[in-house]
Amino acid sequence: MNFKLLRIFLFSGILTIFSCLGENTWEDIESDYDHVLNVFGLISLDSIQPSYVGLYSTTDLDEISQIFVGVDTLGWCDCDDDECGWSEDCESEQIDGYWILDSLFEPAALIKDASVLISDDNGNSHEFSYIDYISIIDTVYFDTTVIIYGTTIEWDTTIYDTNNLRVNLYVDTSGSFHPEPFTNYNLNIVAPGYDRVSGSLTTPNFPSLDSLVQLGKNADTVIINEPFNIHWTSMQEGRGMVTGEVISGNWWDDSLSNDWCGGYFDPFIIDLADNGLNPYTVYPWICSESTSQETDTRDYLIRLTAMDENYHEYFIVGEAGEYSNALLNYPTTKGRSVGIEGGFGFFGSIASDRMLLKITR
Amino acid sequence: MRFFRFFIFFLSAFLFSQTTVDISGFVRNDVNGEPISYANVFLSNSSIGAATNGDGYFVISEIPLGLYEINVTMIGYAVHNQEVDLSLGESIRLEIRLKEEAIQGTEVLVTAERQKFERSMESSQIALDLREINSAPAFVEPDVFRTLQMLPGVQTTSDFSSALYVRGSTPDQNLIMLDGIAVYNPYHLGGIFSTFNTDAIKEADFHAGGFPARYGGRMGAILNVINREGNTEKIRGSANISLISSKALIEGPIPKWKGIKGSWMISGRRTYIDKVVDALQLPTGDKRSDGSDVYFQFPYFFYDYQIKANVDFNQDHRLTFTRFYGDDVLDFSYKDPAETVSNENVAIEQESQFGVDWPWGNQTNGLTWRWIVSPKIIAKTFLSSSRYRFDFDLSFQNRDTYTYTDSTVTNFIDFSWNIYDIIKDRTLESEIQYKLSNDHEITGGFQVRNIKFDLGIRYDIGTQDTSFTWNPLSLKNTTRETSVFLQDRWEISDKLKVRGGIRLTDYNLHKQFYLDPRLGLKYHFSDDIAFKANWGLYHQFLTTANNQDENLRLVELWLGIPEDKPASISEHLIGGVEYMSPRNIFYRIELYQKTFENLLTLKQDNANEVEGTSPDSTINEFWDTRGNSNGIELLIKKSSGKFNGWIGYTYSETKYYTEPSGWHNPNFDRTHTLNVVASYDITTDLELSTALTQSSGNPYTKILGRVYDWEQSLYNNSYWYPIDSYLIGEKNTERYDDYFRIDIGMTRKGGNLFGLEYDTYWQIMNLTRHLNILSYRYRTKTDPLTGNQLGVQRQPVPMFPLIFTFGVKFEF
Repeated sequence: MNFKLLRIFLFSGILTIFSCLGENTWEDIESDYDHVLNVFGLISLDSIQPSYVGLYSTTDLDEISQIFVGVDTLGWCDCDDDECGWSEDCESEQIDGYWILDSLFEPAALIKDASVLISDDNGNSHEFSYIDYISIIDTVYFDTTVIIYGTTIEWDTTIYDTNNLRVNLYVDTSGSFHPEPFTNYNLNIVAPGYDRVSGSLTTPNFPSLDSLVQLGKNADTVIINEPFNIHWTSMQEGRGMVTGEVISGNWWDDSLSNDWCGGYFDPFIIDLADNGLNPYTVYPWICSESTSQETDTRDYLIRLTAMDENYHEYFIVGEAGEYSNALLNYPTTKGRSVGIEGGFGFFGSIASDRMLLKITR
Repeated sequence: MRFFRFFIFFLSAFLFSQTTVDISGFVRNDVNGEPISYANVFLSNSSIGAATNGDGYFVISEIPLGLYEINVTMIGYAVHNQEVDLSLGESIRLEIRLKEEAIQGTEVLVTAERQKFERSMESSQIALDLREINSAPAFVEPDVFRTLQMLPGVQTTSDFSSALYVRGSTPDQNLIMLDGIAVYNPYHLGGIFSTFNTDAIKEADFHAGGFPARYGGRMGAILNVINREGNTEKIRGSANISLISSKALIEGPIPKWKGIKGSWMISGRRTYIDKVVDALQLPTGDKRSDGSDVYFQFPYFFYDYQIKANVDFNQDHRLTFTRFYGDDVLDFSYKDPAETVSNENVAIEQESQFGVDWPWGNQTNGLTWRWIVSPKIIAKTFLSSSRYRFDFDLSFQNRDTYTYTDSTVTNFIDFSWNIYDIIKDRTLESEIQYKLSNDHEITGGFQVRNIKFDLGIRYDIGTQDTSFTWNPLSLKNTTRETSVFLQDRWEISDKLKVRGGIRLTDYNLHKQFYLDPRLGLKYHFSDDIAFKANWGLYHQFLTTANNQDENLRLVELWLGIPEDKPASISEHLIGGVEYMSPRNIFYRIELYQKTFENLLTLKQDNANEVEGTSPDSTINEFWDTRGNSNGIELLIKKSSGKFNGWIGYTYSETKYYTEPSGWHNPNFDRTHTLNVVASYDITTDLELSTALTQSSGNPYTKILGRVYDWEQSLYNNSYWYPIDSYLIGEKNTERYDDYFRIDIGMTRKGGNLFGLEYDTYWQIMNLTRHLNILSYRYRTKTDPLTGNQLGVQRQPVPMFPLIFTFGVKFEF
C-alpha cells in the first residue's frame, strides 16, 4: 500500500468535509421613494356587477404591508368529528370542541379618507364613498327537535348569521350612478398626502351573443368534446373576451371542478368590428373521463365581455416583462398607469352579454 | 509560331531560372511528433527567418543561392542546427525534430511569446498552450473556458458558468470551434464545465475582437480549440481520476504502409456520481409494493469522447478526421407502486409513472484535406458537421384498470411535454494561403454554412378514447451563409505591417449581401514595442432566445435571424501597444470600442406572475436591441521560467438599449476586473498555482417597494383581485457586492504506484470563503404574535463556497 497516497486522500477527505459556506443571513432592506396612489377603478355596465374604485398607496420595503384587524368565526369544530379530533385538547378530552377562527388582515396601504369623484361629459358627478365591508345575512335552519320522555320539544331553530364581508372599496352609495355605453367618464381622486390622480375612459357598448352552433345546428345543449361556433352581433368597434363555464350549482363543485369534466376552453379575444372572425370556432379541452359522472347535464354559461381600450391594455396586452428573477417570490412591475395619471393602476370599463345553455356528455 | 516559342522560352526562363529559393518544412517534437507552433526558424548570421504556424509549418522565401546553416529554437527544446545546401537552386523541404530539454530560464532568448509578439497582426489575440490552460487552479479539473475567463476582456455572470462574455458580447456571439468546427453549446452541467477535455488539447487560440476576414458569422470573439494530433512514434496514454469524473486518453501512430503514415488520438470522459450513488444503495425510507427499499438515485451524468486521426499520404497531402461526441443526460423516472382497491363488485388497480428524459449535447465531425501545393501555397478544404441537440421530455402516465366479474375496463392517460432545439450545421470551407513574397501573405477562400434549426414545444396526450398532439411552437428554418473572403498580410517595411481583408456573405433569408471589411495595422516602434490597431465590421446571422436576466443559463436556444429582422452587426475599433521585455515578459494595453446594432433580446414573461395574460411570453418574440461597449485592458504575461502566469486588468462599460428598459448595463457587465494567475515550480516535482479575481459586482434591478397589480376573472362571477407585486427601479442600476475569489492548487508529480507513474493534485477554491452573490432571494417578514406582514428581507444566494477537490493522473 502506498501510504503517501493514502495520506493525501485522508487529508483531502477532511478538507472536503469542512468545506462550507461563509456567513449568509437574512437582512432587512429599506427603500425610499415618493409614494403614489395605487388605483383600481372599474365602471361596469353590468347590472349584477357594481362599479367601484379600490384605492391604495405604494409602500416601502420596510413598511408593514398587512395589518391584523380581527378574526372571523368560521364554525364550530366538534371533537367527535374526524376532522377536528386530532387537536391535542380534543385528544386529552379536556374540551368537547372549539371554534374555528380565521385571521382577518387589511392591506396597510389602504387609503380610506380620499375624495373619489366620477363624472361624465354631461356634467353629472358622483361621489363614491368608502365602505370597508358589506353585511350579508345568512339564515340557517337546524332541526333541533328533540323528544324527551316521549314529549316532543321544538326550539326556535332558525339562526340569523350576519356576515360582514370586507371589501375596502369606494362605491356609489347613493344609487344614482348608472353608467351608459359609449360615454366618457372621468375619475378624480384626492387623498391627503398624495398627488392627485385623474383618469378617463369611454365605456364600451353592450355586446350581443347571437347563437351557439354545434354539429350544424343551433344548440341549446352543448355536447362536450365537440367543437362549436359562437356567433355574435358585429359592432362598429370594440373588443371582447369570450369565456365558457360549467355551473354546478354549488360553490364547492364550482370552485374545485369536482364531479365534472368537460366544457372548458381557453378564453379568447375578439375584435367586435371584424366580421371575418365571426363566428369563432371553439375546440374545447378534451375530457377523457367517461363513466364516473353522477350528473351528465349541467348549466353552461357563455359570456361575451366587451371592454374599453384601457381594460384591454391592462388585462389583455399586459405588461412586458421587465425584470425576472425566480427568487423574488413575487411578480415585479415598473408600475403601470393605464387610463389614469398621477399614480399607478388602471381605470377601465366592461359590459357583458350572457347565454345560459346546458352541457351534456 | 516562332514568336510563340520565344515567348514560352522567355517566360520559362523568367519563372524558373531562379536566383533565390525557398526553404519550407515542419518542426515537430522529437518524442511524439506533435507539430510545434511558433518555433523560430532562421538562417545563421542573417536576419532571414520565419516562425512556424499552428501546423508547425514554416516557409522562408527568396533566399539567395548558397550554403547555409539553419537554426531552429523553441523554449523547452534544444537548439537545432542543420546545414542546408541551396547552391543548386532548388527549394527544399525539411522535417525538423526538436528534442525536449529542461528549461534554461533566460538562456533561450527567443520564446514562443516573442514569436507571437513579432508575428501577430491581430489585437486582442492570445494563444494558450496546455501548460497555460492547466496553470490556473480549476474547479474539479482543468478547463479551458475557466482559464479564458481569467483573461482581460472576458467576463462571466457567475462561478457556475463557464460561458464567455467578451467585451460586451454575449456567449452566442462567440464562435467556439473544436479543430475548426463550430460547437453551439460547449458546456456540461449547465455551464459548470466546458465540453473540451484538456488532456486532448494542444492549444486554444482566442481572439477577443478585431479578428481577420478569415473568420465570420459571429461578432463577438473567436475561440479555436486545437486538439493534439496524436503521438506519431509510439502508443502512449494517460488517465485522470477526479472527484466527479474519470477521463482517459490514448494515442499512437498509424502503422506505416507504402509511405503512408499518420497518428491517432482518442480521449474520453464520464462522470460517475450516478454510478457511485447507485452502488451505495442509500435508502430513501420509502418502500416498494413488494416491501423492498427504494434507494436514492442520482439521475445525471455527462460523457464525451474525441477522436482525431491524421493520415499523411505523402509529404504534400494530409487528411485529418476529427470527431467529438458529448451528451449530458438527466434521466429520471418515478413509478408509484401499483395499488389495488376493491369491493364485491370491482377491483381497481391504479398505476402511475412520472419521468424526465433530458439529453442535450454536441456532436461534431470534420474532415480536412491539407494540400501543400507548393512551398508557398497551402490549400485546406474542410467539410464538417455539427449538431447540437436539446430535448427535454417530461412524461406522465396514469392507468386505472377496473376488473368486474365479467369484464375489464382500462382508463389511461399518457401525457408528455417536450421542448426541443436541434441545430444541424453542415459546412464546406476552403482556404488557400499564398505566400506571395516575404512581404505579402494572401489568404482567400469560401465558406458555405447550412444550418437547420428546429425549435419547438409539443404536447402529446393519449387516452383510451383519443389521442391529441399540440404544437404551440414549431420554428423550423434552414439558413445558409455563403461567404467569400480575401485578406493580405503586407509587410510594408520592417516597422509597418498591414492586414486588409474583406468578407462578403450572402444570407439566404435576406435579399442582400453583407460586406465585412477588416483592417489591421502594426507598427514596430522598436524591437520590443509595437503599436496595433484593428477595425472591422462583423455580421451575425443567428441568435439565442434566453432570458436576459437569468444568472444561471442551463442551455441556449438557438434561432436563425428571421426573415423580417436585419442581421446583427457589430463594429470593432481596437488600439493598443505591446511591449516584450528582454526577459520575455509580455505587456499589453488595449483600448476598444464596440457598437452593436440589430441585436435581439427575448421578450420575457414575468416568471412570478400568477395568471399571466401577457402574450409576450413566447420564445420567438424579441425586443430590437442596440448597444455599445468600451474599455481598457492591461495584460502582463510571463510564459517561461519557473514562475509564470499573468496579471490582467479590465475596465469596461457595456450598455444595451431595449424599448422597455432604455439604456442599461446588461447583467454580465463588470466595470473593474483584476485577474492574477500564477504558477511556480517549487521543485521539478512540485508545482504551486494560484488564481485571484477581484471585480465589481454584476448589475441587478433594485426592488423599490410594493404595489398592487390586478388580475381578472371574467367567468360567471366577475372579480378582480390584487396581486402583491414588487415595484422595481430602473433596470440593472444596482450592483451586487464586489466579487472576490482566490483559488490555490498544488500538483505533485513523479509518484509511482506498482510501477505506474502518477501525479496528484489538489485545489482549494474560494480559499477565503468570500461570499460572492449570485442573486438575492426575498421574503416578507411576519410578526409571530399579530400575524402582521412586516417589511421585506433578502438573503444572498451565494456562488462557490470553499470547495476542495483533488485528483490523480496516471500516465502509461
